[in-house]
Amino acid sequence: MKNFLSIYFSLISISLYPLYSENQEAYIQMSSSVTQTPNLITGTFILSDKGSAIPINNFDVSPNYDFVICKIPGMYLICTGLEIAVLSKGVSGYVDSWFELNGSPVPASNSRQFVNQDSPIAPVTNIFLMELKAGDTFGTKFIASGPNIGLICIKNLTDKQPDILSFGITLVKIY
Amino acid sequence: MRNQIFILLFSISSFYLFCDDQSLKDQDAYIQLSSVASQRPDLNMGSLITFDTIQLIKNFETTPKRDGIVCKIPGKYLIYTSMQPATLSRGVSGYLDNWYNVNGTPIASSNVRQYVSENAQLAQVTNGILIDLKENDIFSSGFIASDPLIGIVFIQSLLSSEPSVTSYILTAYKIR
Repeated sequence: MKNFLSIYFSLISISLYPLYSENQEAYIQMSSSVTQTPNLITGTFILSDKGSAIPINNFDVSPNYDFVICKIPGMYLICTGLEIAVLSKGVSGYVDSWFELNGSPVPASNSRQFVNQDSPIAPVTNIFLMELKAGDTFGTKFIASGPNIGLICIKNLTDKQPDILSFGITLVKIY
Repeated sequence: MRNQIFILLFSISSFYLFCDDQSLKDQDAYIQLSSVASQRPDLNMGSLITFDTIQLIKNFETTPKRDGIVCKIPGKYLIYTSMQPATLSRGVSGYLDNWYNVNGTPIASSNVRQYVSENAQLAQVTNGILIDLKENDIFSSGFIASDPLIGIVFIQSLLSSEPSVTSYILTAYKIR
């Protein structure tokens, strides 16, 4: 009887382990308070501020804070917000922003926003659903049509108003 | 005592068998689709935005004309769309409106408007909604413009390191 009970408990424990691991939560949110301009030929990864990964659960972050590393496989909802701007007078053009998975661009993830002297700043939001495997690296890249166009951080607003950050990213495991 | 222990273990194992993880996963529902076509709406009645590429699909179907998604699992859904309104010729300015429909009926408070002009000829518009869908409900996006040369635009990328800009993308998933 004792042997039967020990085998029985072992079987229950083994059957419960996948249920537990597959249902682990995973999320991360990071942001940037730095104005950034991209490489006009290849594009550039958007950098988040070091220490800005709050909250974070079951993700790792690269040393440069340019991409995140998935630890729990699953379906993820990814949202980014960017503050596109012309950084000099008399400039007009656009910024493209897209996602990269393991160093390769993700199809259908790109968006474009124009800015100019009359409309020098604009917010861009990208929302995407995708499967990530453990070990996958995920980041956001951007490129601009000219050297004086990029992502802007606007600080020192009123006491009742937070700074306008240049970039924010949120990933959350939904399944 | 032995009988009580056996009944307890049997109950526990039955409980976990009942809460089978696979049956819960079968209730997941999500879809993500996009368009690589530039589109212009009917100026009098508006049009439905069509799509041509499906990235992800589970427990959804699409309409034959690819202008709507069909819910297969009733529940509460979070749906986001993003599009690229643009002027398609020089000297044009005006606006583009975008809203959602369920079973052909516009959803109140779902409409957004974006202006585009010669100086700001392209923009990105993101829209979203939390909505209850029943089985076989058809969800679609409508759009209309103030000028025949305003629509949503697809931009082919010239770089291998940068994906093309889709004119439209929809993401929907079941949260409850």
